[in-house]
Amino acid sequence: MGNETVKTDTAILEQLNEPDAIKILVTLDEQGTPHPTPKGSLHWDGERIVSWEILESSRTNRNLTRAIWFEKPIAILLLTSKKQAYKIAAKPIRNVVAGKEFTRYYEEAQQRRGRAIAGVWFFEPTGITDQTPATRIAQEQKAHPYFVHLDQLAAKEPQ
Amino acid sequence: MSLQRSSLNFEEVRAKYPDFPPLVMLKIDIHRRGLFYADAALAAFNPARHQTGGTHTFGTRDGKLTGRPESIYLRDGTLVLATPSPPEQSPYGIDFAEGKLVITDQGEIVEEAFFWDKPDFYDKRTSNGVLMQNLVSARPQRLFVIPQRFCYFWSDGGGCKFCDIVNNLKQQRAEISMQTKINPADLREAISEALKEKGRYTAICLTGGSDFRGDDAFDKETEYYIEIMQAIGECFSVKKFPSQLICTALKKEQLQRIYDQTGLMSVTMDIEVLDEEQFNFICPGKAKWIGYQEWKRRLYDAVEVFGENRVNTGIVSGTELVAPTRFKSEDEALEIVLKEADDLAAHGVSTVNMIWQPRPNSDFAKAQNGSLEYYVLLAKGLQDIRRKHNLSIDFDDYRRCGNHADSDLARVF
Repeated sequence: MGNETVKTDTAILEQLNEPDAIKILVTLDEQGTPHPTPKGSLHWDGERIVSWEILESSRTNRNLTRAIWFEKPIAILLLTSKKQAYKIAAKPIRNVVAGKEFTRYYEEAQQRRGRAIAGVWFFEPTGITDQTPATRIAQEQKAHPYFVHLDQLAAKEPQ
Repeated sequence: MSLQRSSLNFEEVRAKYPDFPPLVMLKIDIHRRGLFYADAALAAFNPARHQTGGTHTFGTRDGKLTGRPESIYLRDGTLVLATPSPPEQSPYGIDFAEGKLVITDQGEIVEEAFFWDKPDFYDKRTSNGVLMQNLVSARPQRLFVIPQRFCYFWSDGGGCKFCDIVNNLKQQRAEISMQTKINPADLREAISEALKEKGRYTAICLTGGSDFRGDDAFDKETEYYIEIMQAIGECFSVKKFPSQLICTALKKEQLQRIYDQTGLMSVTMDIEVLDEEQFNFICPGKAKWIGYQEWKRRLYDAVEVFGENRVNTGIVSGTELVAPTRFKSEDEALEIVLKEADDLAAHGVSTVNMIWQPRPNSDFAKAQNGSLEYYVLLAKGLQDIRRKHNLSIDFDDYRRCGNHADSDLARVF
């Protein structure tokens, strides 16, 4: 009961492509400590989630390498312009650092952001959870009706 | 008495070392055993789009030079630098199945693989008519220049026993009109053309055969590298650019000349074997002209010239196990090799290992390389030593080079 996770929902994943969306990528370091970082390049290409890595030596890039090596999960927090929030669990499936496919992203990044990129990561979504506060409150109130302070339920005037 | 080797297979080694990345372990095993291309893989290979082999320093494990893919890379960006092997070496298969290029072992699919894309400049010619790929070869992210393909140690009977550089050159001359030495003006044109491909390269590497000629030994080699690096430098807008020279252990004065007069940022002087007795046996030319202890001393001098994290040495790991080796087991060899690597690291010199791939046109053609477990422990040991001494290997890592499993491990640290 409670917070439902769906495997994939294309309509939600497509919201990664909204220009005003806020996207936070969370990876795990060697000790298992979560490392969140804003990742504006995260987008859905119709088949996979894609992100660009600007800094080859960044903690995120190292954590993602560790994740693809040892099948560690990553998560994306998506905040849409309509004030909806989603947690997208995913796993890295490919890191492209060379070749024509890399060149295509490299040129696109230079054109759009004026920056060279170090690599491109592809992710497969493994679960999406609605984290929108209003949705979560409604879900939890339904699932756990006892988890409430009684003053919130008190009548304004005793009958 | 035969040398005691680990007999664990891939799955057993993987289970024993769960903290070692399986993709890097797979690379190691492919480098050990080699690979072969199945017909379906060759049918998927498009020479107009993918990079064809044949222009590199060393030959292939089955003796055939051209007409096949240069190599492959894996889904994490790890490079595999292996050439086709004869069947008796139990090579991994490269096949095309389920709509993608795959790696197989005993017919079972074990991983996905990708061909290297062909550089844009490869089929172009300089104004002198020289095919540019015969001047500059490429890895997925590195330009590779071999200005001098002849090794003078061979003229002196002192070629390294694992090496086929001169025999490979003879084959390259016959089959692809390869030049022994390159003209700096031609090279400048080729590098300039290569740099037009956006995002393709992160480093330039120079290497070649040793040349002991000159007023002082190796002056010829020194002067030629300066000439070549200056030609390359004309293609850049900055004085120093990411570059690596893999050369003989030159004297400090020679290294200083190269550093001062060119854009070179880092230097690699391959000692090949981290044991003096085995070095003398395997590398007689290097032993005669320089010597093991002097080689190490010159590496320390190089740190003073180029700075910390800019100097390393390579070993052709597994050759130290070839009879008549003084080692009785892989464990003993590992202990000695890592102790020597630790000594080098204490002086600021990093060690990287090339997994020895026996080639038919070398003295060690029929010898056996090390076990998978040996190479896994060696890779881990070398990277652990770097971490212990706080040494970076950025200039010779998974991307700037891709030939060293140990520096592949540096990606996550």
